[in-house]
Amino acid sequence: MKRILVLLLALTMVMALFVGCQKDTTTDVTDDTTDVTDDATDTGDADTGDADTGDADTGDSDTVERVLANDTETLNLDWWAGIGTATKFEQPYRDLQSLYPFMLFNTLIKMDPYDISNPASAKMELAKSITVSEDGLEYVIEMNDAAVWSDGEPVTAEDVAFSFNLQYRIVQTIYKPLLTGVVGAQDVIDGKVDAASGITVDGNVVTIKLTRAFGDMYGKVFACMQILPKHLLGETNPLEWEDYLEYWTKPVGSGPWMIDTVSFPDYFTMVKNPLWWGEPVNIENINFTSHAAGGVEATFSSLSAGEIDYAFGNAVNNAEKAANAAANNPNLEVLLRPSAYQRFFTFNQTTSQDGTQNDFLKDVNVRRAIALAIDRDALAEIYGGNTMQTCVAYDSPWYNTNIPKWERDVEEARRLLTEAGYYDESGKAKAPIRLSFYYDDPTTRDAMDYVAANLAELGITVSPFLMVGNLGDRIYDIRNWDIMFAAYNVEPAMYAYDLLLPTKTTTKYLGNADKINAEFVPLFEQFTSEADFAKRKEIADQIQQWDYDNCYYIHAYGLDRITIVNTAKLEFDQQIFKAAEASGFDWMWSTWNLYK
Amino acid sequence: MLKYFGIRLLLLIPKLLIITVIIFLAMQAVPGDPITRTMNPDMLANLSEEKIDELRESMGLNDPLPVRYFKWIGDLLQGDLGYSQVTGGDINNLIARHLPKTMELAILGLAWATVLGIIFGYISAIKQHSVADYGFTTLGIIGISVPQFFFGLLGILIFGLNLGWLPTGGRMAVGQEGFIERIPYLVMPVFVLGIVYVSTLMRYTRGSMLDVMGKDYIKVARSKGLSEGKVNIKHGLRNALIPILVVIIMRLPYLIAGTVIVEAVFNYAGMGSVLISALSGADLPVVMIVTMLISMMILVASFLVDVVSALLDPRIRLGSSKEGA
Repeated sequence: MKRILVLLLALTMVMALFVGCQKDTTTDVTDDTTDVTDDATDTGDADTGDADTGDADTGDSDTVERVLANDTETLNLDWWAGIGTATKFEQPYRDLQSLYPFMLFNTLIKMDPYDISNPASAKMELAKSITVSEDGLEYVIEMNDAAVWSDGEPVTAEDVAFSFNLQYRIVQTIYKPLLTGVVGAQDVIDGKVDAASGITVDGNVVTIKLTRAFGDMYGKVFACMQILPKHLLGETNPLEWEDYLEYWTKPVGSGPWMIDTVSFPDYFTMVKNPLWWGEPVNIENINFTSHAAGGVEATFSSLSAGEIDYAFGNAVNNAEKAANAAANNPNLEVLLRPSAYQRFFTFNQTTSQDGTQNDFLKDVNVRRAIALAIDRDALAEIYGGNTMQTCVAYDSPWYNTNIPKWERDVEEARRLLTEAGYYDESGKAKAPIRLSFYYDDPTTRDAMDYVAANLAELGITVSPFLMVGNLGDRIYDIRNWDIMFAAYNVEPAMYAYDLLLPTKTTTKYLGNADKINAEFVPLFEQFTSEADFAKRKEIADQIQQWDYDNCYYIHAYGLDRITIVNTAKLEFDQQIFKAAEASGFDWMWSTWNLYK
Repeated sequence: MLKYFGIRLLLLIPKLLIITVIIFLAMQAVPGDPITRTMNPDMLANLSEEKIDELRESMGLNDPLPVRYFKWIGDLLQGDLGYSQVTGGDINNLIARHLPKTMELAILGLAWATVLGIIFGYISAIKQHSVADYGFTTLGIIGISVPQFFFGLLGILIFGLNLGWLPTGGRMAVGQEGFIERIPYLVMPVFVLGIVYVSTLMRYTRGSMLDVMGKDYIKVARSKGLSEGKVNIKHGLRNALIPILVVIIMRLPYLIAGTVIVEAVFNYAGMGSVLISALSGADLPVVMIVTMLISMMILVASFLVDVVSALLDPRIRLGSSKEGA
């Protein structure tokens, strides 16, 4: 009798588990049948007027009219905070995995997502106008007199000059290398003066003079670099600027929203900036909740439970988990945006510390043979990415469509290797290959085994191995590897080619400095200094052709960036997902609306 | 008695020193240095050798090992826990912000685990070989053998996603920082954290009760005509609780260490999340301090066990005095 009771108890528990785990689908029907018709009579907030944003319409006949609710609903966002949330915000340059830097701070201009690579289409923000001299060496920026900080102080030309000069004196900035061409920049870097002589202020006009033209001044600097308040930060020590300043506990910005309450490290809230001077935005309240403690899994759980409405970047960059979240919550839509992240193979063309380097890899035909032998389409499929031909993704305006695809061709690869003398008289490969990688995940291990099998078809013995420990030493100084599987992530993607520059640490394994200096460097310098899009495109094509011809890198695959949106509640112009070429695009906040 | 406690207290010092040496050496044995370890190779590609050396020097990584150890200990004794190598944040601040949150979780977890564990163990013992005994024993085995994260994920799936009764994680809703308002956020992590200890305490209580109930003084109590309830609780449970108390005290530091998994599962920003992010970012100063903190708590708990045991059982301190003499 007792045993029967115990069995019954166990059975009940198991059944309860099953019942609990069962998804109740009946409650989701109404959510799934919503229509995106704007309620024009509702709040009187700016209508998005954008037909493209109606992606939440499922086409069901039993439609329910949605009610615009910008005043009553709150936009719940993920505060992606790997570091820096213990007591303070991170500086805006580093925390680009959250939306708040884009909402809080502003830039001189924003690139138009509908014409992302064209400076002429850029939308003026803190700047009223920017004029550039014919030789591209002088930029005159007239400030927008309407622009104010959320504390009421005007945004001035002095703020702009301060923000530019700051870049030379702080440690973690991506702008310093881009701004070394400013007249007098080196003196600031060397600590001789506090401000570059090439950055001058006259009233509400800032003039920036360059020693060499820089073609991406608009896209990479003016549109991306947040301008910071000199009146709050001007007297601080730049070396302490990043992590220790009180300012970062509740930063003041010049964007459409401002920080309201902060509770480190759990959440913070934003409200509409009452002094916002730009295009009106509709959403009143925004909550950012940190998922740093629980990581990616916690973010996905929150999305599934409807606790957050939008997440993007590293927080959700897992296609399988994103699909699961969307399956759990039919209100979620998974959107893909091309990213600049790519993985590639590269060759050690110099020496190894143990003296066993594969010298055949110095021969371009051997490198091409390897490119032909690796099944890159399969690799792209394994990782859920797109096969890459150059550093640039297929849909980028910079992509050279004339570059032939490395179709897998083992016979041709074998022929090239034979020509290069890779086989001895008995047809045996003369040198093995050590294939290194530093991503310690099962997918990569499997992928590297697959690559080894690809190359084994050429008779080459390949030993894949995971590089551990001090990777910097192992990759650049010890170099006991022949081919390395690595990654790069730069926007715009053409700048990924700076890996080839002899000034980079990569030169330690690439070698060939004379050839690169003679052929590649002039092309790259032309690209970075030219401002005209058509001319730049020509140069970009030449660079990609040079890359293809010399095969220093085998571009494997690129990844899409995932964004997950609760489309039942949140709507915006999704053109922003096509703006892959720059992080300085206009988020078009005025099109963002919340619905009940 | 005081002498006994004094000796126990003094013994903590060499133990603590040995722990600091072990922690320091273990962390130094991690391959590479923090510069190259914390930066990915793509970023390293953009740093010159001079810059890397400069960073290394500024972080004192070029000093000899003993110098670094004594510098670290010296700073610790002055209450300066140092700075995070990854965020640059003050570790004192980090601990002050996160430790109370973890303590809250641990104490609540221990509290419910203690109450339920003792009740279940008590019932199991006095109803030995009954359905309740088998049921609790089965639940105890499940609680001990199934990993915490499984209960956590199951809880999120059932109560967070499917039923929608509880939040899937986090510590509080925006603007709701009071204890009562935070209860929905505490339910699942506290429950999951306590499951293992309910099971452990239940088994200890059951064993201890059965042991006590077989003693002569229980027979005497019964022969005096006391009610069964009075015998079980006043004479049985009270005596059985002495070893249980020791178990409870010793569990507290382990409970704090145990929050690492629970905090990760429930996105609860406490010491566990600090330790995980420090370990994954190879943030040596933070890892060393947190590890030392946990070790210190274990030492203090073991000292408290000595104290409580001595207070409850005079034979212990007397035995120690004789040994000392």
